[in-house]
Amino acid sequence: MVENMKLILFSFTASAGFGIVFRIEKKKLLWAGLGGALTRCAYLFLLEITDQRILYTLLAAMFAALYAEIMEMYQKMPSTVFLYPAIIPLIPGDLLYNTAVNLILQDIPEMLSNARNCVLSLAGMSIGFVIISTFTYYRRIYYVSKDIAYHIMYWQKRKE
Amino acid sequence: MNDVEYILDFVAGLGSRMLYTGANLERVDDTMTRICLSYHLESISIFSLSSTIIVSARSAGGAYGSRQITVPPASIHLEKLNRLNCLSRRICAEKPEPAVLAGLLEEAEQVEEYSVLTVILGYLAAMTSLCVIFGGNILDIVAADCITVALYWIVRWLSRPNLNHIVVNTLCMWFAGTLAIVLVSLGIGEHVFSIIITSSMMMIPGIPLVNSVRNILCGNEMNGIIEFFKVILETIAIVLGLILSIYMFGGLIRW
Repeated sequence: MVENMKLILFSFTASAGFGIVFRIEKKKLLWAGLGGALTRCAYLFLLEITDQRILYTLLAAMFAALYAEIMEMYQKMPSTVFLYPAIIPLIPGDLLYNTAVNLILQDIPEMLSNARNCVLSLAGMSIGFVIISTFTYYRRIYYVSKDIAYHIMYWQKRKE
Repeated sequence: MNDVEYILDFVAGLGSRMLYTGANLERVDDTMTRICLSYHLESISIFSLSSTIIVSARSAGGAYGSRQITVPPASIHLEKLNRLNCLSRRICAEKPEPAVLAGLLEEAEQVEEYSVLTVILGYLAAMTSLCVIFGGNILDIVAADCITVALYWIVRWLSRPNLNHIVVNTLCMWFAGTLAIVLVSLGIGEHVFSIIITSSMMMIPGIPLVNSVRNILCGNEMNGIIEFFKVILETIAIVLGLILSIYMFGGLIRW
């Protein structure tokens, strides 16, 4: 429990720190950090439920993307502003590093295992984002279609 | 210049700046389409990659125009992206005179920047946290923070125009790996794994990687594939730098 709280707290500071690096406005840094902390919470919770790497990274990434989309509506800012800091806890930098080190140490089975986990994490994250962004894409398409309909009506009125 | 040329200049400039500051391709296309529609342009055609934008349209009076613009390699600046997004919403709602659009774009880019010290503190907060998450102790945090500050200045110095990004990544990661080994051999830091993993998080193009796969799955295959290969090359460069440092100085410490 204490270990998990430590992870959540440091995920908050990591995401807020990257928020500064990504030049997010000062007032929004709290939301950036919160995104990272909540994503870590979701990740730890999912780890308790399943040991399928692709599944828990996919669901955690979906959670991060959903958080970003909700914040987009609430704060009237692009979802990217909240998504980038929120996914920091999910980036598999350690797996990539271990893959490289095992390659050097010529521990091929371990290297393949790390590479496989790294690919599964990335695939899970990407699919998670795509699932959420597909919903928001169609929501956006709906509004663009409304703009196009308005545009056609404008031209028809002009012709009349 | 006629109105359609002012509008296309603005649309191409806005799209280019949005991509440069870290926007997704589909959002940029969407924004450009909406602005063209709000000015009642017809035959709107937009082709965009992460490195180039081509846009053409026809005005109500029958005047055609087209613009092609090159996008520099992305440098994430989310506050600028937010301002550009606000500007596009405002343009769609208010439809100002086309001749004043260029001025509005310049105005939107005037953002209060963080000082260098604040950015370094941001990096330090992030890297300290990551070092703890990766199992580092106090000494490892000190070593990781030293490397972070050094990497910040080296990346800044090396990231000049004309210098290949892959070469920059290799050199930076070689330096980070070497410094980590030297610091551990001097007793500053214990777990070289934690220190190097933390430092590599500063360099690994995690967000472009996720975006490239997302582009492939969302229907922007050409852009996604180009970006994916770029990210893979950059990652290989990072690993190569690390391998070189371990081969050259790995004997200084026990693995």
